[in-house]
Amino acid sequence: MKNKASIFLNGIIKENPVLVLLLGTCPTLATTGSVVSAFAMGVAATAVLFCSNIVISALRKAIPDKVRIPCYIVVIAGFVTVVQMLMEAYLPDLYNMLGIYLALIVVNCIILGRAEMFARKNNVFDSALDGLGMGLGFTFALILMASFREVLGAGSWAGHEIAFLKNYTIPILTAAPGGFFTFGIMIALMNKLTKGKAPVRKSFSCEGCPNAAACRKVSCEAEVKEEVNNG
Amino acid sequence: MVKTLLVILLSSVLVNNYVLNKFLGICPFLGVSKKVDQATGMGLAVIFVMLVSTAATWPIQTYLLDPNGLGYLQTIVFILVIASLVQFVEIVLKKYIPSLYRSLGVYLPLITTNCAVLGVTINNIKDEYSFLESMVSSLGCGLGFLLAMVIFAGVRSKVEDALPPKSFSGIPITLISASIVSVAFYGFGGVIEKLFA
Amino acid sequence: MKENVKSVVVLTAICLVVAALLAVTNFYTAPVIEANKAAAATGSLAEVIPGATGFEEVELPADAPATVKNLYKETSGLGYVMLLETSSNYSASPMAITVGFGADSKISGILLTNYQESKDFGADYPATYIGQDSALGGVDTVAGITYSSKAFKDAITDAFNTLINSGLLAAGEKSEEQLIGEAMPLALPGCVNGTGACVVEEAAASDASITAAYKAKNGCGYIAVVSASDGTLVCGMNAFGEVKCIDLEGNDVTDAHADAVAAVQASFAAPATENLEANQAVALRAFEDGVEVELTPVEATGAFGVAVAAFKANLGEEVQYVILTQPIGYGDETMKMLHVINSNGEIVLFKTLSELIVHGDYYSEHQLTDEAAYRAQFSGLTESTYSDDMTVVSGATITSHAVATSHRAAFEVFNNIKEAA
Repeated sequence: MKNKASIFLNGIIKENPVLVLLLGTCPTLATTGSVVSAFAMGVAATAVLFCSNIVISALRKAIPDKVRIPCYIVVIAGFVTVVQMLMEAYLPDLYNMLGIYLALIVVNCIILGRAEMFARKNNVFDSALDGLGMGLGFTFALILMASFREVLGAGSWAGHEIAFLKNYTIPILTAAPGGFFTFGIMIALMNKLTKGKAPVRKSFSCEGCPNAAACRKVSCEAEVKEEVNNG
Repeated sequence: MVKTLLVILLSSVLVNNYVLNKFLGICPFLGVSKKVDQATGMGLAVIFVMLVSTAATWPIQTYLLDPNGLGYLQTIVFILVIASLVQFVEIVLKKYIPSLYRSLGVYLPLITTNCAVLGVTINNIKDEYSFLESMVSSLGCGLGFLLAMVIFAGVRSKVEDALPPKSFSGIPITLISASIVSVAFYGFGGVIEKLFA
Repeated sequence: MKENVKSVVVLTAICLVVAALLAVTNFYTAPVIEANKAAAATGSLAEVIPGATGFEEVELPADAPATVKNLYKETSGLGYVMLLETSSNYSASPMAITVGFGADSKISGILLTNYQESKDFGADYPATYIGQDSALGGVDTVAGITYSSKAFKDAITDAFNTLINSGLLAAGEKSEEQLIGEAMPLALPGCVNGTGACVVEEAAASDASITAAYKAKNGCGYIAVVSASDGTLVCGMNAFGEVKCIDLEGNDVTDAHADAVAAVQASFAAPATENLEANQAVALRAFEDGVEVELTPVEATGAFGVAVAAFKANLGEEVQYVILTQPIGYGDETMKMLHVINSNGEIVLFKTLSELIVHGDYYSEHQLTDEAAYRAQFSGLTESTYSDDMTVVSGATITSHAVATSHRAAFEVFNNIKEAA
């Protein structure tokens, strides 16, 4: 049982996809201008991750190794579209808020990354737990970052105005430059708090992104793992 | 006509810069921007892939998906088309123009599933651009990506020599430099409209 | 080989299953999405007509102004909604306005849906239009952003006119005050600034029939509101003491009201005569020192523009005309300009006597980089070769407009003098 809990918690803390693995940077920067859109993005990605992990894990024996990446992409894109349609129908405001970034969950490294690194090697239940944990970790990091940006940038939290901050906002934090800035500060903070012991990846590189593995950069998977393990 | 195209081109290069304003294609932006020549190669490859992808996806959406009420298959069809197209181009380049393959080809696999490429094809449909406008917009986004990459590579080469506080070294200082470059582009907002008003 | 076949089969199967899944989801969500879209389209419409239940689009009349984009009818007969978009000449991006008209022909609600400078505009401004009829008596332009608020008001006027012309709404009654305000620019066109409003200050008048008197702030004349036997008149006196009377319907009724003309002429001194010496001194500055010139004042009947004085200059054999104009510039400040026109109607000299400060739209205040060259481009032009476009200095709409007004007034004066001669 302890093992199951660690699978679940792994994604939230130790291998937090955003703050530690530095995956899914695009939505992290793009949707954290407000807490609401960050939450929506987190939930949508979690739903896709959870479902795709289950399906991919269930089909892991049926999918031939050679075409596994196209298969994963089709499965993920299918779930993304389902989420898109459901949101457009029942949560149109959030749908409009996320705009194109919703469709771009398809190319979010986290999802393909978990399929490649976890779901295809583990059973359905573990994969589901992993998907949920990773998804929640993603959501948690997004909300943390969005809180910083919205509170200081717009003087509100999830749309609720904070009276004493109203006249002291830093609007650029909610704009594009604020995204890079906040993310930089968060990672620096992560480094500081863990005294550099956090297994934060030391560089961005496409080789490190599992999507690159989709294109025959097989070595990258090992590389990422190694980095994570070595700290 | 020419004016519309020019507005689309300039605004996608400067104002709505995919990397610095819309946060699309961040991975290659931060990953392959250590050296100016690498950044240029990557940028050129992205322009190429964006143009090819748009040329393929726009007709598919307009003549195949929309008339049959299959608009909801957009995401899945686009990603598959882009992925297979890039693979195909790569094979062709490798076989017939090896010199070009050596300079650009190595970057191709890295951008197959790049969100900037998928993003530009979806955005073109969303903004209801005509085929020509879509191509111009893709060109603009690609050029914007190249511009951001090259500028940032220049900035980074200076940052690499600096000695930031320990917690900031590596990724954090890179992101903060990106933030400052982004501020520079932020200043273009409104310029285009004024220019053609 | 067998492996390849399996790959293809599996991939195809997955594609088919996913496509089927999507088709099913689409089957259930598509109607909801359609309904959402329809609701969103009419959502802002319902906001401007309280209690609205549904809308249908009505075709616009062919002669509708370009600002009017769409017209919707409330299906239960509560009124109409119009979508307006101003031209983008006033601001970086056009304003999009959704305005609802109730069955009582008054504005029931109004929304400014897209406007970049809305911060300066004041969120309350659009709300002042609620409850107004087509006379728009209770609304004003906002100082400091006159152009934008005028564009807003003009768009609403366009909307009213379109509906009234197609018989869907009744026209509102304008108050006398409004009608007088509208007649003033007709009585003395020289008093208007760039936005078409008359810039005046109160003045005293001795005659009992004059109920209100104003002096044009730029000194080009006087305006008097006269109560005549057949109603109120608005009479303007130009710089040369000539009077024009307009009734509240906007018709020129000067000829039928000699008594009103006489009363106005008795009340005010013609500016050109009153300031003769000062004007003469200014006009002399048009000529270089040592030039023998004899200035005689001339009157230009029929010139109601921004001219404040005109002189005939005798330079030995040649005769030239010196025309002083005072158009209204930035911040409604009076600007002083001078034209010398020869007997062929060609501009010999265009001079600005007050500093030609060029003001930008928002905050830039920069002087024309080469003012001399700017002025010199007008030399040698006649009325037929001159065009207002030549005056345009980008970023300085109001100053450019003042220069254009000055030129038109100078040509007007010249033509009238020529005609009289």
